[in-house]
Amino acid sequence: MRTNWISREENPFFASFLSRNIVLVQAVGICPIILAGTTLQNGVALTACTLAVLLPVSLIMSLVGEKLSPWMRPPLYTILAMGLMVLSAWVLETYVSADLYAKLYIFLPLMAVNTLFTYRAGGYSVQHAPHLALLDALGSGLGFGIVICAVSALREMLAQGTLWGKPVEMSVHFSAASLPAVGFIMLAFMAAALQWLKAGLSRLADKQRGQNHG
Amino acid sequence: MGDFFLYLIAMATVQNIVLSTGIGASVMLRMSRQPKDIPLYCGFLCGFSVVDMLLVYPIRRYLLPKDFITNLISPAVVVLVVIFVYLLVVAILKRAVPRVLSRIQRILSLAAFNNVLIGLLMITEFSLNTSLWGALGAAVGAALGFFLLSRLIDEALSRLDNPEMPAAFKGFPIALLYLGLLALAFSGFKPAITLF
Repeated sequence: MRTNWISREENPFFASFLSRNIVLVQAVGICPIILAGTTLQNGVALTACTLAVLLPVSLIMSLVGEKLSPWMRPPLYTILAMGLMVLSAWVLETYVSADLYAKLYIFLPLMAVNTLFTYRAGGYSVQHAPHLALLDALGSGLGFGIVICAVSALREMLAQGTLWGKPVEMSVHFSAASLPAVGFIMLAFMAAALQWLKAGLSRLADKQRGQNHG
Repeated sequence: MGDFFLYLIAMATVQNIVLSTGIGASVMLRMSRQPKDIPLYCGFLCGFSVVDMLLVYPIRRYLLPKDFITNLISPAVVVLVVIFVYLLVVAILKRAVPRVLSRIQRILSLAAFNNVLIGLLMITEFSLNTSLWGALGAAVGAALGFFLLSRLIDEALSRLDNPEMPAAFKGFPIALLYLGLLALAFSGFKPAITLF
């Protein structure tokens, strides 16, 4: 049965963006952060391309996905995502930056078969109404974006001493920051920080509820 | 034939695709919550990797010209081949064993459409200057490496699940940290053996 309502507690945008962040809680979309999240420009470009593809694909899967057999859905969302990603890549190369396109050439097609599309467009969107699918896609895209941009910015500053290609004053220089291992470790600490924050807010909410009832 | 075993061993161990690139990390971490699905997933991944590689390798190396438009659309060509093979497998299973298909459909589609498979097909073209045997060895090695690493993660997570663990690191954060430390250890092999 498809879900049409939104309750305050289950806002799909808020869930995918923050409380159940798509990367730091749901473990989706890790690969591009590890592999391509080494400069802030890469992070922003991948976020923009992901949103440009995830939103229409989620909408289409929400509209037609339920009518298809389960085995037909993966080819549909994969070919839709790949087609739109090729278009995004062309726009990036033609109108934004050919250099950036060259750096992201191999990563953009990998985004189209990312778990973001498997679990969100192919999973959540099929079982929910179009407006909920769009909210979830927006939350997922932005949730992914905030994590990749944070990791990319930090790795660029540490490894190259620049931010968005411009030099920054850094007393610490760590050339190995662009290694995949450092990406994993940074994500681990970010996930732990979010878990700690959520636990703290939950304890605070329980305390306030206890005081209200008392 | 020597290339086959060289790439198989390298991709399964020192140049493990998950640890070297992060490709497949999400699937591995999510599947660690249902470890009984991993052998079936890895089996399908191996099968799809080999069959897709047999088709994609000659197409991309000999049939597609090297120009900008082809470079732009060649990932879509790879995906079309992957979709063709998947639909063929589904058609065969639907005809032969329809009840089995309904039980394994989720794992089958996850194994057919994932970063490990597509990434491998693309990396083989750009970074691995190798023969078809080498590409096939890489395909089998990647699936084997995924399986070996998932066993390692499964064992590690069961040992890390203890009361001494700080609450903030329980579950997903410690799994990521463990992957990061493994990746750091394996990156030490990179100067000795580098495929990509």
